[in-house]
Amino acid sequence: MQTATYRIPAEYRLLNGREAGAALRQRILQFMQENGWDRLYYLDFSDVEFLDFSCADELIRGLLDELLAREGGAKRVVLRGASPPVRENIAAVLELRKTTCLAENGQGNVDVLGPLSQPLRETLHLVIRNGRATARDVADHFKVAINTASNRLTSLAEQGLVVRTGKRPVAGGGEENLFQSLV
Amino acid sequence: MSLRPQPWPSDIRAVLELRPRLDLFGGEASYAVWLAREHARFVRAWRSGTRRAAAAIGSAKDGIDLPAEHAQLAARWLVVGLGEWVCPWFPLLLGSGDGREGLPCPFQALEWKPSSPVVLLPPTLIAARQDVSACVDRLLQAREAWPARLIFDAATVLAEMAHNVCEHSGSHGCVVASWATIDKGSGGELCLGVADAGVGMAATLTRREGAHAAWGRKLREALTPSPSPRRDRGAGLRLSRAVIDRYRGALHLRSGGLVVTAGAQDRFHVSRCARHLAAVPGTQLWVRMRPGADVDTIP
Repeated sequence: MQTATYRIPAEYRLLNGREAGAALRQRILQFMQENGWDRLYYLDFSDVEFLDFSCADELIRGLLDELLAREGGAKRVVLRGASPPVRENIAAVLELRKTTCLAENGQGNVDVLGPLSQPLRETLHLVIRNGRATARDVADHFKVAINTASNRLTSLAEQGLVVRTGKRPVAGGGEENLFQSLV
Repeated sequence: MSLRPQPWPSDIRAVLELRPRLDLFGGEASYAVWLAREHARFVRAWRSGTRRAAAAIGSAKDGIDLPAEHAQLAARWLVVGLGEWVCPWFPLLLGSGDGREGLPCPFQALEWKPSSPVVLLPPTLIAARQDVSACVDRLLQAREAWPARLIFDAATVLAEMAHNVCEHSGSHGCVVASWATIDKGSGGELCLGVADAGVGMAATLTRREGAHAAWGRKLREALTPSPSPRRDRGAGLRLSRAVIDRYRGALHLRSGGLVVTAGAQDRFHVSRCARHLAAVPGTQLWVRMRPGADVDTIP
């Protein structure tokens, strides 16, 4: 998947209030529109020193809602470079709003901010590690029923954390869904 | 980014010079009556959305004329408090130890005198988002000398409360932040004050909710850390309450005739304030946040 990075400008060093969050969200959406909706976008917070709850709500949660409402419904956004307090304020908003977002954890790995059960979190990490996965892969890895594995992948896709890329035939007839990692 | 030039240093000095009979109105009953009349007119105009001429202070907010005294009144509250209310900034601006005799100050009755607080953010006018950003910037500078995480979280709470003033009070406001040792034996705590002399919470909620709102109950809902049914608002107060809880702090708020105290472990108390204070315009709140070993450390 092609990627692009939007570095939040230094003029937004101190992000506070809904108005600022909405204005920046529009700038980011315009950047995405110009560069194509199919890309994966890294939102770079390296220059952001401060972010309050209302602004995080308007910026991050608002952006995720808009992306999820688009055709395909994938949250093709990964947060990057956020300082621990900024990251915690974003996480608090996502917990409150019951929504999730991918974020780099500063150690070269991608983690999830927001409420996600441990089984779903582990399944997501498996998909990210392997690049793609089917319900059979998940069932074999975690030693769970195929229906359980399928439900987990479907739930992750509904939350926009993985994308369903198509189907592939399975031995013995029939076909299975193929899920791909965003990162 | 700089703080807005303050229009009232002379006003604050004038208040302080009234030490022997210091109160919110400088002991002038006629001033209080005039102010109440002006404020009532202002609230009526705000409710009906009447457009009037430019305001005496700065630019008109929403095209509605602001009483000239509003910003000064908010600053006065932060300087002198509201009578029986504990006001941590009082010794801050008066200096410690001396000159307390004869003052209607809660500290006067205490055997122990609080130490001189340190000003982290001086009383500052807020009228727009840029002012809030400037205040946040100034407060964040304190990270060099004080617990960095606590300062960041305090700036978050301050920004949330200050934006509420800008968006809902219909008026300007004033904010202040200090580090004070209020309880004997404590290691000190961070105090935030946010005051406005606007229309008050009851009027704001009445307009927003579409009916006369029991604002104490509404505020309790807004401060409860459960998801709001509205996705376009309701995150700021809820999460600010969680931050204050994390620092074993408390939020005190007065508007109209009610005083609300919200503390840790879902403690929420609504009481009536003294009758003569019920007429004081606007909303005034202060927040206490104490550093804890699990969250931050004192340098």
